[in-house]
Amino acid sequence: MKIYKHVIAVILIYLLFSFVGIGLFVFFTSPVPEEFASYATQYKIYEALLVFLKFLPSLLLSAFLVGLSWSFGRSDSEKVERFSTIRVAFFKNVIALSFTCIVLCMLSSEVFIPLLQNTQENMENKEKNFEAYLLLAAESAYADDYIYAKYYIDNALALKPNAVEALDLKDTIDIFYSGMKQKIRDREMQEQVSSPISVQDYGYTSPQLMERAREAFLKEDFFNAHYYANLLLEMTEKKDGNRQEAQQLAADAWNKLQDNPTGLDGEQVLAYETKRKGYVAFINQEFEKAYYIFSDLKTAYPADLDIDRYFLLSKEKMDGKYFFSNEVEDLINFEQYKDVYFSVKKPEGGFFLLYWKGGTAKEKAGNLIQYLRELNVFSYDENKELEFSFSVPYAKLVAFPLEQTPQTFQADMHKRFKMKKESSQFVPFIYLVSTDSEKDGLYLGPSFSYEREVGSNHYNSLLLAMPFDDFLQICKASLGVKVMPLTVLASFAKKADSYGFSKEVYFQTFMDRMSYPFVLLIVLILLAGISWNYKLGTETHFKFVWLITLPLFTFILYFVLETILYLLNLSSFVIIGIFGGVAPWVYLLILCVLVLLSAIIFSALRSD
Amino acid sequence: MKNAFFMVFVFIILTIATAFVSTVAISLIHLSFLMVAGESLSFINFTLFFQVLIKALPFCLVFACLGLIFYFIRHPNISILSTLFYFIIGFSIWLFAIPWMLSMQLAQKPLVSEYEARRLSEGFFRQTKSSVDYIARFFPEGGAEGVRIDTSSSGHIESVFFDEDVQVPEQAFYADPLFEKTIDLPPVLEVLKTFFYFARTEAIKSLARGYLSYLMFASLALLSIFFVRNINSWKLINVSLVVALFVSICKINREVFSAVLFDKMIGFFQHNNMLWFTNRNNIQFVINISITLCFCLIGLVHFIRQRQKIK
Repeated sequence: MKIYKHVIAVILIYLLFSFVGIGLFVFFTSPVPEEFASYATQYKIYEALLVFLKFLPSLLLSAFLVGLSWSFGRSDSEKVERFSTIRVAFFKNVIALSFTCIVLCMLSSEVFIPLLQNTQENMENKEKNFEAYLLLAAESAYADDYIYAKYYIDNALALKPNAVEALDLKDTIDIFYSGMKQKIRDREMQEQVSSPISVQDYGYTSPQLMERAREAFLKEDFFNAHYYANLLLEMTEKKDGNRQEAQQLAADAWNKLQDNPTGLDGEQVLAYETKRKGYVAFINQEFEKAYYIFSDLKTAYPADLDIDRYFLLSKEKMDGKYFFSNEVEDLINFEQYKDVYFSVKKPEGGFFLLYWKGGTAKEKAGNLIQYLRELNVFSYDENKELEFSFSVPYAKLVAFPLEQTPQTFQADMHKRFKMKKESSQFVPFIYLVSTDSEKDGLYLGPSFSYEREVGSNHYNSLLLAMPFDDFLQICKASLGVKVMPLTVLASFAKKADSYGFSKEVYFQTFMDRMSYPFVLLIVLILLAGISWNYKLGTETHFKFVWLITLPLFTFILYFVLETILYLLNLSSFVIIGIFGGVAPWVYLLILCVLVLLSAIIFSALRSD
Repeated sequence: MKNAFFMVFVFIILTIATAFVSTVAISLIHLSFLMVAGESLSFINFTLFFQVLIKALPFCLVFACLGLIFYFIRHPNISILSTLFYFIIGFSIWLFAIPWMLSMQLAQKPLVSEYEARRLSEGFFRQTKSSVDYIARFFPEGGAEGVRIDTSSSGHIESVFFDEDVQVPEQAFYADPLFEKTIDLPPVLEVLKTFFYFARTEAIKSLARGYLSYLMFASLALLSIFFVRNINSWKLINVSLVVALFVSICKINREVFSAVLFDKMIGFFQHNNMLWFTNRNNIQFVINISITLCFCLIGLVHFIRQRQKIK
């Protein structure tokens, strides 16, 4: 016994009329906020779609109710008994129709509504971002930085492809960009030919280092001869057979370095002496000093292999302690996360409380690097007393391998999070000090607003005792619990209270979103029962004019559905309070029982 | 006879069901307002259930009467006795049960007063309208220490001391702002709540003025929907019409006490020395009696036409 025909007809007709009706109503009555003035039509279309999707469940429910009531009246329903074969057939049809309605409602609530809301938000930012990109492109072009200029102007045109001012600027930038690219290509070719030395000095054995030192000495490359000999002395144990020769070679190379090479003019002598000064700073582990010396020299002598090599080596050392302030230039326009905060326990007791105004994840680095704008850190001891608080204008957060952290830290992580010492395990590590890439002395580090023991706190970095995945989930949670992917929400709900968030709220939201299709199924089956009880008489002639009562049903069912969902939300708090972490499963079980009960109620109905 | 008694049984079941659902729902709402993150709260409180039940029962009885009209739509061939039983039940509710229950409510204490002094918990970020607050610890002598992030515009964050009672939200009904978004009533339920408060308050006021004044307030228009229950040949349409009429009568009665139109009407009657009409209960009575007569007339005409069709 097929009952689809009438139901599908009513649903399609009603949805079509509602769509047009709501669309026209919203289009002509809804005011457009000032920030959307340039996208008024687009805004109104999205607004109309949002209102339609908001009412979609009640529109579908009312069409389902009326369509089914009509359909039952037209079927051979006078002889239907409880749990009879025909009733089972009706039930199958009802379930099939219900699933269609549920799929539509789920698509609406989980896909289309968030998508439209996101698009509306993007529209708001579109104008703002276009202006920002255009300005940045012009500024970069003015500073002859055509790589950035090209990047910004392309982004601006992606937002507004026909903007005349952007197209004009693009033409200018393209000319310079093409010329510059050619120069870079030429330089790269040159470097590939003339740069045989790599900065990767890891993994050499003692004889290999000795060989390299000897080779460099013979070529009168005394910097590298001394460097490799020194590296050998640092790396090997006292009984190593090469040590004596390395010591001798290092001493000889050092003596040679003290004498300026012959045949150099005044400027070259000065450069050689500066290079030597930089090298001495490097050997004495004054990497900051070495870095800036070689940075200056590199600008003046880009072809000098020694300078290039020791610049890269000292930069490598700098990268382990600081990040460069040019990394964060203009990032404010590209922030993905705003107002992020959480608390995290310290292995030694107490906790940190962190808050930053904006976060930009480096997507090219697989989100393993994030820049945090205006990071504020509050540190509390085990008695929950404030120890210190500081802020930094920008911080760089990276995923740090757990295996490289101290043993006590690893043990704590293993105990609290069951994290094993595997290379795939990461924890968040924050660089707190930034510096200029060219000028020495421009360090930007923590500025303390409170210190219990003044002057006792020195922080260049901060290691957070939490899995890196949890950090990423917190960032996603900052976008709103309603838009978090359901799987992330389920995973985060269990540990929300470890980071200062309410477990109840996250579990409740998860249960609310998870239960939605079940609630709809229960309501639809019960509505099918009502349709049966109040079906159209078999002798009664159907009048299409009756369908004008459909909006009345829509409003009644909108009210009913809102009430049910609200009360179920509150009930989920009770279930969470009683069952804790297993509450979603208990809730699922209850919902399944309710589905079964409503199915029995429907199947137990019979003809008058 | 059997059908009439079954109808009484249906009424009792409907009353029990609506009373149970509304008591549990309202108690749940009340208790949810007292929730604090990280702290347990007993959701079983029989004193509260009883208080809520007494308050909700008059409405449950009225809804059960509405349910009976749905029952009559579903089973249109009812006996005179069933009709008689319906009106006996309806009159008993409006004339005796509701006034008695209202007088019982006056002697009651406010709901859940013993729970009102709950304080917030440590270790959670709480978003309010203009800030995010974090209580790090409570002082034994009262008050607390924590951090406040100003989210209104500046995003400024600072270490702060909270007041002794640590009541973060201003004039909030809920104990913990963390649950505000979930437990705040949706707009449709807010309308229902406002109507319930209005109906209860006006009924108590009318009763306080005397039984006759209460009778004017009650005026039984809702019972008269019975007469128009089978106006359409499709039962489902009748259900929607009954709901619409029920809501409309409630709305009109609400408007008598609040709408500008009725203020103007009262002004007009005062001006023309028609003092009997300056009492809102009297206006309400006139409107409800008119509705009742109108429904009776429609029902009668429909009945005669149906009879003619059958002949």
